Amino acid sequence: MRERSQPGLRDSDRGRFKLRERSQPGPRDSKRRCLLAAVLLLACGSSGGEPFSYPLAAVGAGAGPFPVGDWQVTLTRAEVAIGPIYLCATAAASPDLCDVALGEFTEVAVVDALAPVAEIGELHARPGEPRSAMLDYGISWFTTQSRPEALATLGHSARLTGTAVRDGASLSFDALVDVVPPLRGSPALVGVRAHSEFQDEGSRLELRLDPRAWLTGVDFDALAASGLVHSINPGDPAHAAIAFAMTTQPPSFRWTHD
Amino acid sequence: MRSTIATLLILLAACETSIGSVQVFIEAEDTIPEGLQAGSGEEQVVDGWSVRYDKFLVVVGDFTAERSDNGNDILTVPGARVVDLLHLQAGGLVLAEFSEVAAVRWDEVAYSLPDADADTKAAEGTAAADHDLMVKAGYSVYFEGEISKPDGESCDHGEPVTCTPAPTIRFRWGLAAGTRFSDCAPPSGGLGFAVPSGGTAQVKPTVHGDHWFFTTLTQGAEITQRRAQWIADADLDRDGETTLAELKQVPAAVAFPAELGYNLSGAIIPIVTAHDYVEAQARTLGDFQGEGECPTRDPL
Repeated sequence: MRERSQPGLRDSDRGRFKLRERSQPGPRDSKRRCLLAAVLLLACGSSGGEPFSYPLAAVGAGAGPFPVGDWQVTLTRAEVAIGPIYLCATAAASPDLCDVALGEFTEVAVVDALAPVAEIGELHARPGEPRSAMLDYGISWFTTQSRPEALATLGHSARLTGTAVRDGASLSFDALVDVVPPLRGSPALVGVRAHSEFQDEGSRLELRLDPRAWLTGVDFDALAASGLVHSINPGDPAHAAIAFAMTTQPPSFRWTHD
Repeated sequence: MRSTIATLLILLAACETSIGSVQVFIEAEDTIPEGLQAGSGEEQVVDGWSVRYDKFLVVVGDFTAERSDNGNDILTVPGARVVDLLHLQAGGLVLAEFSEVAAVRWDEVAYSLPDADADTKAAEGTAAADHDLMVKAGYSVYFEGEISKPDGESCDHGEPVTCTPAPTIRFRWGLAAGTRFSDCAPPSGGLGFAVPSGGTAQVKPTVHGDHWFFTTLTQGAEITQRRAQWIADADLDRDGETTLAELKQVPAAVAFPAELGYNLSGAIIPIVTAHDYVEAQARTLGDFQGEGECPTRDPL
């Protein structure tokens, strides 16, 4: 079993930043308010709530076409490996600030990022207010590993295939993208904005993936200068552009509640 | 049971009688007045560049301190002012003082580095010309200075790489990157600050000056490296000054490669160009009690 210096759902743990549990305002200098505060203090140590699960899905952006500079790009394939995912109670998620996950999806799913909706699985959670997320794109680097490892059948973080057209010229590309965690024990992405005021058994989380945005940094002019058929792999400038964009333009998190 | 009753009595007594004072200061991290040195030590620039600031202006506003156990109690310093962080008096700029404050933990602390507008005042020690600069441009932060390295070069990213000698590169950058910083916590842990009974709590929103040299968007502990070569490389016309217009032409994926340890996840704006990177880092400058953090950052 893999171990990682990352969140768990243990009741006994507490992160650097506590869960926000506001009491109702009361009259200033009220003995009753102090008594309530005292009772609440004495109640510390009780259970933080029973774990539960709710559905996790991916929402794609569609194939396009979309402009990148002078080029019109159309994706025909966009497979993205996503997971593990951790939801944190702090707005700034990092392994040192997110000792306890408010939710986690510990598997890796390969989703079709062109499909309108793809069900991913169940997210295991506990009551609270998620305010950020950490995640990998299918390549993780746990503390027990000497090097990062692809955990999905895809073998990479993403595979993006398509064409770019300009002035009658058509360029085809097939990109195998690896987004590798920068440090052992740390996810590839930390501090991803992800906020819901609550989560419960009736919640549903949708991750909106936009692979089109990940291609906007690709220099199609430079690619065209060296041919019209391209396999993009780690080490290529186009790969660096895509992997960078996957890091800085992560999935957006959107909750709905029954 | 006896101990429970005793605890309740102590809390009740404390609620009625304990008060103290609060002083709120604006403080500049040492990297602002002292710059950064080349080297591999703490807060040093690992790629051999040194950094000096000649001007560092920010707009500070809307400090608030609240208690999660009492929504009616709030300490607030409304309004915004331009602060010259290179000319602060020793110990920082006194923003406000409060007396007869409940001697408890004030665990919800926030403040803003907003964009300047017509209502923004000049803090004590800020020149009128600097105030006007910020207000007219609507900046939240403006800084100018230089990076230097005796054998420094500006390099392109072509094949082969072409470099030009550049021992000094100047920068003069103003940004409208208004951001509110919340959930402030000192480096020692806990949230906010505690007011001692009969004493004074010194509360210091702290503006950092080195985040645009970071290889990460720091959250929590500043576990990162500092690099400045990207500024030299972004001087596209090789005139010795890197401008914001040049930064907008530099792809971030080129300037900040993973091979150099860059990982820019967690930004509150998309980072596509080097200009975006500077703005994203400008939206992280608000810290607390020195090296403490205000991890919730919301664009204004």
